[in-house]
Amino acid sequence: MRATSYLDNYYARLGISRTASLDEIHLAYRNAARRFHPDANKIAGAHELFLLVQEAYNTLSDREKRWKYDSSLPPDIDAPPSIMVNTLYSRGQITPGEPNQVIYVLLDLMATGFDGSQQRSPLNVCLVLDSSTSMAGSRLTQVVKAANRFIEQLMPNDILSVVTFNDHAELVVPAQSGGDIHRLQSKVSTLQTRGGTEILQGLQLGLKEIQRNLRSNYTNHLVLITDGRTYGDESPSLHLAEQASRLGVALSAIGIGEEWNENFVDQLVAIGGGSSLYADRSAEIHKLLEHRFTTISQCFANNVRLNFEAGPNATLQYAFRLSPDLGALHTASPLVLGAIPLETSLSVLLEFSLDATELKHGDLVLAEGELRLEIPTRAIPATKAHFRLSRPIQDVDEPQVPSQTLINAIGKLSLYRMQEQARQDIEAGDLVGAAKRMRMLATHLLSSGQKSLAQTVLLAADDIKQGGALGEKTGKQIKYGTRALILESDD
Amino acid sequence: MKINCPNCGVEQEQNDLFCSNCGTKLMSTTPTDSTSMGGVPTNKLEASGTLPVPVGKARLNLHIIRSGQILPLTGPGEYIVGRVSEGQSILPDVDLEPYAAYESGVSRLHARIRIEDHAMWITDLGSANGTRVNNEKLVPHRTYLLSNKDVVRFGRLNVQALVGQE
Repeated sequence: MRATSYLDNYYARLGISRTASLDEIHLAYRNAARRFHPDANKIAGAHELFLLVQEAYNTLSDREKRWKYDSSLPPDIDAPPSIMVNTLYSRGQITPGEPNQVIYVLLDLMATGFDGSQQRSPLNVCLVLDSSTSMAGSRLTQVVKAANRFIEQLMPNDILSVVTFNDHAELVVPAQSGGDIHRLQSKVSTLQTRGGTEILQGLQLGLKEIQRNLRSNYTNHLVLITDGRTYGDESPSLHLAEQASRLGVALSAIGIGEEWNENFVDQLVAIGGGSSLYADRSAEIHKLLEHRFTTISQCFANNVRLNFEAGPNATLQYAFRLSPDLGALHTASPLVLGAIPLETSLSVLLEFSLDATELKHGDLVLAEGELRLEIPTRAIPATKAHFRLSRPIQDVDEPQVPSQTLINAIGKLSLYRMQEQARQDIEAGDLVGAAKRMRMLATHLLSSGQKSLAQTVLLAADDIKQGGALGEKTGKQIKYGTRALILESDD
Repeated sequence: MKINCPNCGVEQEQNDLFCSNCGTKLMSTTPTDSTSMGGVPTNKLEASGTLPVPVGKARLNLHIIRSGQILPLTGPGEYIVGRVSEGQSILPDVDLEPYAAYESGVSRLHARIRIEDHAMWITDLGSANGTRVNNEKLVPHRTYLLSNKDVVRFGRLNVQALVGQE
């Protein structure tokens, strides 16, 4: 039992204060039991997380056990309010004297005490829509349809603005409340297409509109919808995304067709903890925007980030968000995790590499720092808590079986990571390696019954070997195809 | 009820532990865990004498015990486990070189793991330092059934077989 550090303790698991009464503990447990039920939580292995909650409850609900546990806890530890934090490690300990070790950590953050009757926090959203020539026809029609549906779902206290961009950006709907649906819809329906795609223009104007109503009790979000590749303004766009992230404005994107640059867009939205979605046919746009509306509006906490410093013998190698939206995260501090949804959890898989060559005993710190987040429905939204991830250094005789949840997550991620690595190989000029990796990926896909995706990957492997590049369309199909496999159910 | 030896295919009595023809062990080397690949208890396998029907899809992961890496082997197929060194013509599918394979006495082509929907099998390929499953030494070139959580020792490198859900 080693759950006595910052954010990795029994109080954090239940999301209660150290001074919580017995009634509060019962209530928190009942809430957690409901939330971690496999039907409510899509993440594989919610069961294992539930066992962590159960363990915490068994101790804290027993006066004597709780007293004993409290005396083993450092005095300044407290849980962040209203958030349950559960930490699953792939190993109980680190092997002393061993270089090149790896540990996987699953961080699961979930809202407490939300019973569905409370009102969601109001939105301050800007839709930034590509209106370049290539959008003409069904793409634009579908975008307008999707935007109109988006407008219908707004509440009177939500704030919406709409920006279109091609070579220039234009303010179609200045930031205003979501009350007058028909007026908003009629403005959006007048969109025209012309010119090329300059994303920076759209982002700048969009962010400006959001900033006019920037309040921390709102969910501030910019949705970019584009079908084109932006040229020359990538780096100022990334810089703008960083500014937006610092202001507490999240970015997400929907890419249409094969021309847009998914690597750049993924990088852009990951800065603020957002994610990208891919519509390979324009008929899918409204479904994706509807999904985006749901994730934006069903937020309990926004702008969740870890300001961390890795321990002297640890490096954060990889970070991937498994829920609510899939996506690789930037591994530098701050680690921007995104939002905690109302009903499910924010779940992130971390991979640390460790070097314990010089270490014989004690604790190995993986990372330490502060968890920061904003809960818009609270009087003072910004909140923070200290955290530390660490493991003891000791030899064990019996091999420990890593958590099933982690094994499953790593297994499911492996296909996505293979295509990521193939892309890295191409960038590094190792075409033979990339083609080989793609063929391996195809074999794996075939054996998991994904015939058409395997076919696409095999063709890509040939293309890479001959032409040295990953096709626009195949690249997206492989990336979003393997990403979708992560979500496939466990039955 | 008869079963066929997974190695030579000769028909065997259901209670036989070793193949009368080639000596391959017919059951898991040690029934430490009641679940085999696919979640069917091993003892059920012995009782019925047939291989268990697949229950859902499973995949095998190799867990390097000392250093904690988890290497997923997606889906069914054959995997040669070994280490890559310079000038080698046949490459293993699973390269253990990053996990101190050379120092641990892992051969270049050390063992073969075969995964089917319902079972995992392991064969030592005549490696220099041998393969053990739960501390029991495998006879080279004979095929053994591998169960979830079995500890496989390639030379001196301990690796645990872990079944995950697809």
